[in-house]
Amino acid sequence: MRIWHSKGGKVCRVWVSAALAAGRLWREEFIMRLVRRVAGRRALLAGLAVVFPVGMAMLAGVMPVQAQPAQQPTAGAGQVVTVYSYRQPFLIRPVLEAFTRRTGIKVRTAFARKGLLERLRAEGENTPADVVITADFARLWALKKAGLLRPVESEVLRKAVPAHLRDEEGQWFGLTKRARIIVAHKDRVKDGEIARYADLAAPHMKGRVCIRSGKHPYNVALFASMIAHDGRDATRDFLKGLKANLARKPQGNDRAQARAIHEGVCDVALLNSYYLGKMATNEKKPEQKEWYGSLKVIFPEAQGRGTHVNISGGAVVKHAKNPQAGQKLLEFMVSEEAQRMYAALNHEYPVRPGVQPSELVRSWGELREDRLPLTEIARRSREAARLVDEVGLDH
Amino acid sequence: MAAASAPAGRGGGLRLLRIGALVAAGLVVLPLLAVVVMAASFSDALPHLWRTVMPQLALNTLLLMAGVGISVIMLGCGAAWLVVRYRFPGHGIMQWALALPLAVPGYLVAFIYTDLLEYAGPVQKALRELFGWQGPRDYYFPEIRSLPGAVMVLSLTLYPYVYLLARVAFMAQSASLLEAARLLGRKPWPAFFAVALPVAWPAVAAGTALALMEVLNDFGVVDFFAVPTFTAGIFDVWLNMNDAAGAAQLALVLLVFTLLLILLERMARRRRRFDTAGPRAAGRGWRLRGWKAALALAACLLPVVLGFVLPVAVLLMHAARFWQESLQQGLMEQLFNTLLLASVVSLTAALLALVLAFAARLDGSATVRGAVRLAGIGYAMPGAMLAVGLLMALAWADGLINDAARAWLGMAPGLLLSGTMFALAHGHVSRFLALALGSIESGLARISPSMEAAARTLGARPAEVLRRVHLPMLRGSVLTALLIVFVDSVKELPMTLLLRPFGFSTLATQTYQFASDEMFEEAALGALFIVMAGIIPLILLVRAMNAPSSQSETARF
Amino acid sequence: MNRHETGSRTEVGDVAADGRSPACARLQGLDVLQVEGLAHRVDGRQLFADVSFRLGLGMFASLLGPSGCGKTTLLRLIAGLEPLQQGRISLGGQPVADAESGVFLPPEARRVGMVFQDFALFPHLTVRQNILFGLRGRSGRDCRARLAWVEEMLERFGLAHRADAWPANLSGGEQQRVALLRALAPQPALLLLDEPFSSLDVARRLEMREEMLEIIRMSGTTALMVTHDAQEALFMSDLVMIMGHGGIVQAGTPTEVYEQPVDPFVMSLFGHMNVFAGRVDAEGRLPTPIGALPVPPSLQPGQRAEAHVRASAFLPVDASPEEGQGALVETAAMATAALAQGVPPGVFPWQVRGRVLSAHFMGGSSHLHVAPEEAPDQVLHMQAPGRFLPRSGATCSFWLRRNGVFIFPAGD
Repeated sequence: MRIWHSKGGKVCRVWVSAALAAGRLWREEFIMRLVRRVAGRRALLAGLAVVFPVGMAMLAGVMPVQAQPAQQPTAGAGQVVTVYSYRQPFLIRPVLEAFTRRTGIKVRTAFARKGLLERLRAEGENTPADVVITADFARLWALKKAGLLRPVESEVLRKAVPAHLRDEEGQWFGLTKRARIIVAHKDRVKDGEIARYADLAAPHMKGRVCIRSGKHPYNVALFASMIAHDGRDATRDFLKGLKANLARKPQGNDRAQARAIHEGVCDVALLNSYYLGKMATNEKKPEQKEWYGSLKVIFPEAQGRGTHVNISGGAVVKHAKNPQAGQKLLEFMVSEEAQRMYAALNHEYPVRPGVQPSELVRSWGELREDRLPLTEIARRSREAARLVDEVGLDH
Repeated sequence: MAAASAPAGRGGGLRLLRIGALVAAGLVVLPLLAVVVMAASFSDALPHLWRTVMPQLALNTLLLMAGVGISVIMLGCGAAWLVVRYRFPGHGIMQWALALPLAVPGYLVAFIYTDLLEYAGPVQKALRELFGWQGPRDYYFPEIRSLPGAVMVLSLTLYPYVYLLARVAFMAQSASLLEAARLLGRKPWPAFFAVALPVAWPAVAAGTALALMEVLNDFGVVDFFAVPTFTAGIFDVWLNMNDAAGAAQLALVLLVFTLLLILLERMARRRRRFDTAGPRAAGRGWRLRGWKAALALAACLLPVVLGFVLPVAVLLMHAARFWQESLQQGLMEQLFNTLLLASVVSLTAALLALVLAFAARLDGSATVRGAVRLAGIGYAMPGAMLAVGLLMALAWADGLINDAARAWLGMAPGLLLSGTMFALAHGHVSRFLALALGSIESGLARISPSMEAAARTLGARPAEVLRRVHLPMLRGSVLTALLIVFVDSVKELPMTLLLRPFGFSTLATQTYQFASDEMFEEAALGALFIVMAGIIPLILLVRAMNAPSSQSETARF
Repeated sequence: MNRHETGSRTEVGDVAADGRSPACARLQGLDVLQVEGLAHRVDGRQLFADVSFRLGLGMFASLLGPSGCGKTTLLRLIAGLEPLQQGRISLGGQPVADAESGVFLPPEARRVGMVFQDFALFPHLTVRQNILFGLRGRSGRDCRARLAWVEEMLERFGLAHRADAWPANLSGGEQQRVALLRALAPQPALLLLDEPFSSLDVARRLEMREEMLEIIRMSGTTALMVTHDAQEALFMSDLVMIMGHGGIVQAGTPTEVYEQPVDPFVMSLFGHMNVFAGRVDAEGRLPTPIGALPVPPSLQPGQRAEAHVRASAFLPVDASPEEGQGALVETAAMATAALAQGVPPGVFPWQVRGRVLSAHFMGGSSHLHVAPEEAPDQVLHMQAPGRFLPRSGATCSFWLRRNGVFIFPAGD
């Protein structure tokens, strides 16, 4: 065991003892929980040990932090609702905290951009999740198609969320709206040069357009709505025209497009509305205010079918242990209080009729939104994504 | 060799070892099997891609691999050669400093270089002011978000794999080989290409293979740089087309491609196997003076500055500006979590690798050897894909447990395995076991069977031989395994994101969450911690690798 | 370490230039290698200083000395593998390294071949590729001639069927031959051999010595070999240079260094010795347990001196048939003849008597431990030719050969 006493060994020793100490703490808690749960039935322990002997050996110090409480108390206090979130937790945290204050129900979240759907499907009826929150409707649509959501019968939700922003069977609901707007340089683009999405593909915009990846869900949703309205061929032509007009290969996120306009790389770009709000109010990075300052906002299709909107949405999981609490959470998220918070904090459009967006958002003008049901768009999103590949927009 | 030592270990201990190896390999391969299961459902993603963007994806991937492959070999071998063969001012520091870029995650370097080199970055700004250019149409500046940009960033962060392995190989080379080449009329660099490099090739190839596997699995950098590669295609199919089965199929195609590459390299090497170590290893370097010394130092400094000093300086700058915000985000807890996870993962991986390697040596049956080979495959698969596979496997096991419990006890315990630290550690071990296995297997291969025989004739039982002969001699290899896995585990992102328990965040997940929302600067302190957590093991590693060379140095006199 | 006066070293060069062997005498005046005033320090320790010698064309010289005396370093300095610290090295009359003027030719520009201790065959190249390694860049007739030479040599030394084998699959002797051919292929002006036989087993060594000598002689290359094996040096060389005490202690033909060692150190390189210290008595003799030995006139009465007696200097006077046969018969006959005449030629006129402690048979000779009667607590090492194995405890008498006894002054 020379390794143990060597110089490197010393460092190892520190790590190991730290790991063991932590492992002990966890193990004790785990064993207590286990004993509490099985009420002294050693049979289960033995069974477990038979199923995963080596797993347990590997555990030496690696015990689960998470374990499901056996009985969910029905009273609000002490209840927990578990959220799988595709959205950054800090974007929704203030709303969730308000929810806990109101109801006493605690919220815990697991955030991931990838694989939550697969995780839900794999966990099946054992899943700890009650609610899923996403940043777009395509994913909600996929969750529904995978049969992972449960219909919610809620008068509150039905009233608060306009029909085109929710699933017709009540399996998912929009919580906030964002418009896919066009931003343009305030001097280099003359008024009237752009009024429709289709103008992005017009010859006079050659070399003046920036977009993020054509495969990003925000863009795919927009293209899918175009398929729904204008048909597949028209959309393909549009994508080809768009590709020909690009000032640079699709790249970066929405903010990067605004910046590119500010820097003179291009003149117009597609953007989700709330990013604009975040840039305008960014105190930590004042340079983003400058980007914002050189832009003007255009609501495309304002004269026609209306500007394409996407949503952030939520749904209750099919195998939720606590569906009531989950429903309560969704209902709270569309309440006036929560909707105002969203509007103020994130500069999103409230879904709830009657709640005003933030002053800044209002200053851009009236949003006339495309009322095509999102389900109709979602149905075509796969087709849209394939069109993007066919045209080779990103290449 | 295995056959010669086989009689050494007949008995219960061996059977136990064999079973242990099979179980360990099984556990590690579990997520991979789940991916295979996942791929078994119908998907038309492959034909669709084939018709549309596949040629472009494949071309980008191959170009990226070629670019990174060539540059890591050039950077890694060149630096290793300079450091082993020559002595120049700063030589001592360079020996370990050259390994440092390995501690900086590629996605951080990508962020930082984009900041520096894009239109609004300080470099272009300065150029504009200097020459009075007005807009982007007035001059040409290479676009950092491009294939060459990705090659640069990935090479800068991955070349240390080649450097570390090539350095050890060069140090082990008999000095007289090179002297013979010189006396036969070759100048130093031609001698390097004619003799030193070919002889060290197995190590160089192994390091390059590691780097290329990382390239194949990279999503962060290529996504950020908008270079659609095969892996980006996998994620596109999975996330944007909601086609997990198609993604799994693509991942398997990638896996087969990777394995083919490894196989080809191995076959090419098997044709001529040779022991490189001579009685008189490397020896002293040639002292450089004047401009030659300055040139050598500059050549070593370049990758260190670009791959480490500059990114860390930028991080420091941001951290100084936003440290308060960073500290408020529970940084200390994340640091603890990160270190804990990495410790557990590296220890487990090293332990499993020891079991597998010993089993392969003592048993040597086709089953065991196959299991050992299989156990290292996890590294050839994108982390996020592997994580989904593991998730499925563990959830399935949880389902079995719950069903059994329900039938038996009338209640379900919930998820015992998935979504726990166990799952997280399991995922990391599955992915990084190949690294530990490689190090320990090569260490074991250097121990001659006659030492086993010597110990046995001195009355040691097989278990005792392992404990008293092999383990002490494997010290360096085990340490290497521990440290490499540790560093990689600290940096690992996609698996951690998906597999971690509720409320458990590491430095990497926290940094990513901020960075992906364009608040990278706020996460700079956490990112610095990631780098720091990697630096210490790296320095230890390089110093541990120094030990044998200094021994042979003294043995000469 | 006792340092030797420089006088003996100036002489070294002369010995070399004179070249005692006929081959050297013929080529006198054509110095292939000239080494002047070399000194070298390692980590602050003086390895050697003021080393000078010359090698004539076609000469085979060896540097003989214990390990650590700097002989390998000297070889590497000549090859250009170590930076020169002090002195000057010239090859074919041209300085290749001069510490004063800063001339330093890199090894590849010196036309020096070298056979390494570990052979240093390139493991990634076949036997033929190894040998041809140094011929790259040549063209035309010269190249064709060398290629033909290589094929001829491969054939002659039984390597033709191994030409496409990897070095790792060769036996030690084959590796050695390949290493030598590789070094000779580019026709170096000087061939350096660094302990070339040390990694071969004893049986192969004798065989390889002859074979290598043959190859080198055939090529007419001047060679300098480093070895710590005195047999090897004596067997192969025209000139033996003995290194130790920080310089070259003695240089000369093999017979010279063996028969006229300048000091105990040189003697010690050539086998077992018995050492007796004492003071020279008034009659100019050194009293020892094996008799009072006459000292050279340079030693004054009262001076301290040491007698160094080779183990092979003792000659058994009588032996009964059961104690020995074969070679011993000759010895017995010699003894009888001696008795008849009084004393055989070349021995001291007295017998050393002693009790045999043990006797070991070594094939060509027998090794004995004997306690002399004069000093029963001391042990004499003796090497008797042939088989001579008296019982332990038996008392035997021995003649002492004059040419096996050397008396040197000892420090006070």
